[in-house]
Amino acid sequence: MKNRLKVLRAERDWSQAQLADALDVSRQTVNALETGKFDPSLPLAFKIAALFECKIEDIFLPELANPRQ
Amino acid sequence: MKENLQPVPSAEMRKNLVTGAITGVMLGAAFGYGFGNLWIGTIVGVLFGLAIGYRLGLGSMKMRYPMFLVRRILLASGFCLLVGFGYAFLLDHGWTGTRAILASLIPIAAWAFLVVMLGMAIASLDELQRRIQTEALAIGFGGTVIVCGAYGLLGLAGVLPALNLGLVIFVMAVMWFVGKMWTMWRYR
Repeated sequence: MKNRLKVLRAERDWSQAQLADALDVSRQTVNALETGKFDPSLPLAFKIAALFECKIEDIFLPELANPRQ
Repeated sequence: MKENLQPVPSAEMRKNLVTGAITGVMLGAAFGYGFGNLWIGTIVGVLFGLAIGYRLGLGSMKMRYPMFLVRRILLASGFCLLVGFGYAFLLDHGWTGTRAILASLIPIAAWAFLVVMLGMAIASLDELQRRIQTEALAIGFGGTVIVCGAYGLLGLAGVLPALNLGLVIFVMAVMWFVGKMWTMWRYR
């Protein structure tokens, strides 16, 4: 799953550590989310969406096998 | 890995010092008895424990787990070591029959305490850290089965001495560590 976490964080000029504190997770978790190595659980995704005042689907985008789908 | 860099209150410092001292007594008594001088072992253990407690209380370390769980894990580890020596002491001092069976099972209580504390520590982590721990445990379990299985088969063939519990625990710890390093690298 792709996401816009890094862009949203940069827009607010937050460090990974600041975002990690706000989400009550580790900095490593934020890094793994941003690089797409780890997909968050639904509660964490809702927390991220609430923090950035967006919908979940505005932040997380499915990686479609067929781009025409 | 949640980082807790908050200043530690003085009540926490006292708890850390007490925990360190108790753990140090258990550790020092166990090693002191093992190496032939209980009192020197206990005194060195208390000083070592107080130093660890003081260091934890400074609050400048990156803490992966809540402080109260670190204290409980320290106590459980000390307890495990103490009963590890204690049950052998009881067996060496004439505990036979039913009492020998009871003495032999004493370490199980300490191990159960440690396992519950480690379980609570893992539960306190965030979801990525829990996944890392779960994958590390799976790798540790699988690796232990393969290594100890091979060792056991070679033991049956007479190439190696019989497998003992200490070796199994050592292999499990090494495999868990390897698993943890591998999964941390994957999610780096």
